[in-house]
Amino acid sequence: MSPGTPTAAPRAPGRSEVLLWLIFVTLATATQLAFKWAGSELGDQELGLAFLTDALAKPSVWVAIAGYAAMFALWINILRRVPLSRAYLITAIVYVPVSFGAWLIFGEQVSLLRAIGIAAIVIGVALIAAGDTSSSSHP
Amino acid sequence: MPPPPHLECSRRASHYVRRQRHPRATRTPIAARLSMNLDLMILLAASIACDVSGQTFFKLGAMGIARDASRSLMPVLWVVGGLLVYAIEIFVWLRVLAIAPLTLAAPIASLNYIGVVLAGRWLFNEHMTTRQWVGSGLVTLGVIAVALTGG
Repeated sequence: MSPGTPTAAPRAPGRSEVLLWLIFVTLATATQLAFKWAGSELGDQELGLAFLTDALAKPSVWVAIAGYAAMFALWINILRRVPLSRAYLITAIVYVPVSFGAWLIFGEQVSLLRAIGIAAIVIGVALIAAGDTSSSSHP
Repeated sequence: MPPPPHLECSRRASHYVRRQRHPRATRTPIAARLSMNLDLMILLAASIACDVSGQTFFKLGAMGIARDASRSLMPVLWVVGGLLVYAIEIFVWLRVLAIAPLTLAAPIASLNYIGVVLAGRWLFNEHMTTRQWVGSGLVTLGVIAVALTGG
């Protein structure tokens, strides 16, 4: 293909597409929280060989690595169906479950600015996804 | 727009020139500050360029896989290219965090959302409704706000 080729007309996100997003967001959240878990276990070490062997001994690090690999495969599948600009914007929704998980598990406070940001992301993603559905009737 | 970097960076820049007791009295701090801001700007621009080009390569690969039944190698090469770009970005980002705090660097790096949207518009002719453009703006502002609180 060559750049500039028009992509297929926008269409309503199918059930499989919604399922792909659900799995992606769940995996992304688990991966981020696993990284946080690994980070808190490893502490403030100097970046070096000792750090690396220490990190590779932690199950949480392997969960995070496996999560990243699975996310990558899913992401390529999402890009096969969804326009890049919309897909990339929708990934921002991951901030919502990650912030919630970080509060629940690690007791991280959600400041007012962060709450406002999360609200803006939710409304923004809703507008982007809704636009996708409505444009399907008149491509 | 995020706050001008020199406001946030001045504390770090003073690190460079901590021997100077009265920064205003000499020209060195300003020069150090300027050159550091320039470094930071170039690194942040490089980081955003990595995001945009990496995602563009992924999209090219994904489209190739979607429509190419002949199993050509090209889509795989695009995807591998995207992975390489992201590998480079790790080092760019480490350099960024070495000279700037995360709460300054991350909001500026959040402009990658705008970059990817424009790449979709210009390279792949992705059409967006007005409502979706408003949504894009809200998502970008929201990510900047979250990044200001520490990412």
